[in-house]
Amino acid sequence: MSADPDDSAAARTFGEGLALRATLVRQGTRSVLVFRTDLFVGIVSTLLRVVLVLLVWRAVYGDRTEVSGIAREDAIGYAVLGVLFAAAMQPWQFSSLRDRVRTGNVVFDIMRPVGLITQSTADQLGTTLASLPKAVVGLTLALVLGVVPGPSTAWQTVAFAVSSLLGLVIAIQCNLIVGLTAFWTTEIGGAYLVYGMAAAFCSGSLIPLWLMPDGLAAVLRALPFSAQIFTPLSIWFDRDPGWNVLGELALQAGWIVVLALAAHLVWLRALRRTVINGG
Amino acid sequence: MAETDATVLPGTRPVPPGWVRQWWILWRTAIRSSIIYRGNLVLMILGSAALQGTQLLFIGVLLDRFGVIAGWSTAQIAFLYGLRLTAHGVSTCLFGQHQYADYAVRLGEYDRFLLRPVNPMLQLLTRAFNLGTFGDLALGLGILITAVTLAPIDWTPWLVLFTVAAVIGGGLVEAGLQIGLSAITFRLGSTRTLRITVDNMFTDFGAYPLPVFGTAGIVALTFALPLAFVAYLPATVVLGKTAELLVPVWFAAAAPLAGPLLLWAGWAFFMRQSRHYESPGA
Repeated sequence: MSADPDDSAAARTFGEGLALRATLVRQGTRSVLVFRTDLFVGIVSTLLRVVLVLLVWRAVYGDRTEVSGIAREDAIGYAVLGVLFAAAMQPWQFSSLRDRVRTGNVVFDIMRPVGLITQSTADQLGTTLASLPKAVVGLTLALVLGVVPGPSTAWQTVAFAVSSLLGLVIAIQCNLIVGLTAFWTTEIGGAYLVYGMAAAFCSGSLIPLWLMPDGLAAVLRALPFSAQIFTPLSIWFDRDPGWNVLGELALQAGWIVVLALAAHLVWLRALRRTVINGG
Repeated sequence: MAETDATVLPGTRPVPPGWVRQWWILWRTAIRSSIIYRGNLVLMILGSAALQGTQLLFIGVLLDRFGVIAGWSTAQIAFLYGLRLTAHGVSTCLFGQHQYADYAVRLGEYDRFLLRPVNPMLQLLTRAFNLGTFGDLALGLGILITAVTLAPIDWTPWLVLFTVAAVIGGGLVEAGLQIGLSAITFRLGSTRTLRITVDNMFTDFGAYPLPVFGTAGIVALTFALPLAFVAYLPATVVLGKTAELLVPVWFAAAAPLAGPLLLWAGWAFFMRQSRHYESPGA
């Protein structure tokens, strides 16, 4: 059961490898989009969330224009974008590894000529792409309602886009590492829930880190979750962007390197832990 | 085991027990079989608590910064939140397995339900037990009891009874709605997104006083999606905030009755839709 998963991958050319990965990503997308009703409900629910979150934040601000230095429209815009980011980047079922390990089907995945890590990340990327329609429709509504302000400069927009992509990579990496823990615990529904919720809160998708108590905000800034959603959003809402934006992007890149190493280490150990429950 | 003797053996019964007893036996069995995975037990309870705790943390941070939401103090919001979460715990502890209707139908587990001499819905609800639901209940009760000591409430025996009825009624509202939604699986196959959407709506927006959502929002969350019946309407009665209601006070006071009504409707709808069941042939 412990053949090197990337053995035959080396024999392929770069172009073939890329095409193969693209196919895997497409499969991931299709596995979500095949349920048309789910797609429709997903879009409606995203729209509803946008409206409800908007109303909640308007209500908590009441007549105040500023609380703790955060302007009313910034807080509302942030909350709405946070909903859309969460819809795209924090799917309910963030890794297929759990089911594959529990049912033992992971053995077939390991035997395939493409590495398990590649399969899993491609699947996740595909799932994320499938949730983009939701986010785009939600964003359209937010823009129509005029609750999300436009960016101030072109380079700020570029920085936001780059930061969002880096955030997505970090989210996928974190999900992968947690997904791999299935090899140790087999049944980890609970751990997934804890992780999913911690990620939702710590990433700042629910509430900006600006509004959290200072100590808590400092702790969350030191975790990779805030690099997933809070960092790109804080770039978007930065009134006076400067060199600090580059620092934020560098920090995200740093996380990607660290998490890639961590994922690799966990995977090497996980492969030795593989337990197959009979046929 | 092979012979089918018509005589009734001592200690056995010629007829199956009634519905409630059937449910009780099957439900206990499900709990026993779920406790086997001890490691997961702790994680599941923590997981469910985390699921709700995130929302609690969110509201906590909001209240910490803003103090009052739509005229409701921290203690009053906590009461509303505790009431909703405890009701949610009642729903998930007793009826939580409805979420596997998709699974049972798609994989043909439902075939077995039809073969046994117990109501298929009853079997679905007791097919397993999610230990995490104890986490919902424990966290909900914890918050509710804390809130009761903090919020200024003029307790009367009637009000205590009303609160208990509200918790149970709220749980049945949620259960009835979710069971009704899961019935759609017989027609569409996947109801997961739909159910999770409604569940998340309840979790994320059930903890606010409804006026936050404006008049249209109040009407929608009362009559289109019966969220108001779970906690908001009873909470206004207990907290003496009925002045802000759009509906008559008696309507809010009767809110717990919506629970049994919706459960009956959801169950009946499920059984009716189950006529469209097509076995996958597994």
